[in-house]
Amino acid sequence: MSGAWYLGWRYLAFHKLKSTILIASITLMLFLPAATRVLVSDSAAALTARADHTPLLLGAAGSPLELVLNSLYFRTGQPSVIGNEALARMQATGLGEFIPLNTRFHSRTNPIVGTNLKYFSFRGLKLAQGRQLGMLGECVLGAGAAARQGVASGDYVVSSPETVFDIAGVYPLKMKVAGVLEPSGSADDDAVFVDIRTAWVIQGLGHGHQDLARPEAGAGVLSRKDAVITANASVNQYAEITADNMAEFHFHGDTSEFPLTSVIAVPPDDKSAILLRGRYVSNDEGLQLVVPSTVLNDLLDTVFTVQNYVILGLAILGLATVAVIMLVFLLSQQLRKGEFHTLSRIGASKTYIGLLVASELAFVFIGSLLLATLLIFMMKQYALQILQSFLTF
Amino acid sequence: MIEFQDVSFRYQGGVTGNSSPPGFKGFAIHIQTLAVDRGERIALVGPSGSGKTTLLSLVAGILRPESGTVRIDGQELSRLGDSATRQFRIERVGQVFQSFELLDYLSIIENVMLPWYLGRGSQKAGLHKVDTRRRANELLKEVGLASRANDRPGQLSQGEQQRVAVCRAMLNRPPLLLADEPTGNLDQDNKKMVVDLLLQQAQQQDSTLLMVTHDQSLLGHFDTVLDIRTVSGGGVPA
Repeated sequence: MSGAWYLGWRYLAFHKLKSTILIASITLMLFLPAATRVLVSDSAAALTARADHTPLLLGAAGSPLELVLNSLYFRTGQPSVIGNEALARMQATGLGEFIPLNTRFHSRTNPIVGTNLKYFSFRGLKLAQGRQLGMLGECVLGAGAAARQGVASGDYVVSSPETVFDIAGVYPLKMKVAGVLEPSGSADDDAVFVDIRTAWVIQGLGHGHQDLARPEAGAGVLSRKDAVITANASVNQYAEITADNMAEFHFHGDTSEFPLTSVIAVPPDDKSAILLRGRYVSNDEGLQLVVPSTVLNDLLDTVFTVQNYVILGLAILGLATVAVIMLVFLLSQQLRKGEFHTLSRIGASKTYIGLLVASELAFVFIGSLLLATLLIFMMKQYALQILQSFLTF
Repeated sequence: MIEFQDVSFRYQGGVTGNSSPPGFKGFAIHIQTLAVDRGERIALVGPSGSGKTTLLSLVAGILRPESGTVRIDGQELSRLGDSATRQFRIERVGQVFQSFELLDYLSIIENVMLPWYLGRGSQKAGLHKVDTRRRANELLKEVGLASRANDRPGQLSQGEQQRVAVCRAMLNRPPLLLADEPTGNLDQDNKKMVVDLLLQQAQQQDSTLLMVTHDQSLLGHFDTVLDIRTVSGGGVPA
């Protein structure tokens, strides 16, 4: 390191606080616009990647974006539902494969996704341990959900009540963990997958209790009239589905009206996709069939517009920061006149003093640039997690 | 060693190399002849504003005379270019100032090595850093500050700081040692210590010492006491 560079370095090292503030200001000035751009572009890529792999979605009429986010990222809350007969009608068209989804419930903070086995092959999800769903009342956990709940295959998880204020609500269902999936880097990692019928049991549309026709259920019988037996509140209901009590589980009502939050449609070709879309152009049945990538691209157009405004604002802020830094720097040079005079008297040229000042600026800017690059690199590593934290709550 | 021949100098008000310090605009000195031998130790006295500092600046090549010649060891300073003059100052002149003028962001030893940092990159860079550091350590040891080598100037007393400044001036073993009121900010004990140190260093290196002082008690230590008024026709703002 030449003399001037060394002196410049020593000056910055001695004035640690000043140097740190300068470097932090410039780092932020460089990092924020770049981070905004990286976060948005990475998020856009992640969003559209999952959407691009989901050809069509059928759901209740309303917000297409809400439908897509619910079906792709399992946002909990109270999604609108459609009847199970909508799935049956789609299947009757023979225009592809159709995968039901029910994302209304959750286990602790993890969404419970009621679906069928086709979903796993459709998303390319593989088991890391255990086995696939084999019977009613079992579940398969994403890697993140298993880690968060601290369970492995053979353990149990419990569904959470929709609201703690509804004391008349359905009982939580204790579900055996049949298997745990490999990490996929998607919203599937945080999900608890169950069969669609298990989701209906969680909702209370199906249940199991002791056989009232048997003599030992006598205390639970309120009245018997012909073939109709009315139970009282003391009847023993099952909170877990096992091989022993599975026969006692049954559904009440018309299963064609049981709820789904959406149906993923996977047509084999473009023609089938167009034919399917044509069937749902009119909104007569309170249904909508959307192309997720189109819906997300509309969202991203808005996001990119906002991003441009944010970057413009940050650029203006950056210019103001540069102006302030230059002002501080010039004032600092004024304060250092005595030091420069001493250097000059001992034998330093104006060029040398200029190089000393330039070296200080160079160290500050290079340090800021390196720090900003490191931060951007780190942020790029975590962009997906940041995005998911916004989309799943 | 030092020869002045019909040297005139006047501070300008503008942006020339001889621009004036505050209160010196139009100040002028004229020295008909002045000759100082190698190894001579001279106390330069005279009232404030009589041109003592200006004379030192002319000797160091910081200021250039309007007319006449300043020769150091036969070398006419005005014939040297800017770069050569600066190199001359770094390598052949040691300077000690009244207010020490140490850099607060450098350690004591780095302050002593400052001329080396300034001279680095030139063709006459001379010693390597390791050798320079060894030399700086030797100097600090001589002045009793070896244990403070890594401290900051602010951690030293004023007397200690001036001793560091003397070490800095002596780093390159300069044949010419210029001290501008080096005891002006010191108490009596430190005054004597610093003057003894300057004289001792000058004697060790056979350097010519030219020291400005107002302190009459110190004059007895020098070979010659030179009153600026006896050599300069200036001293009065023109």
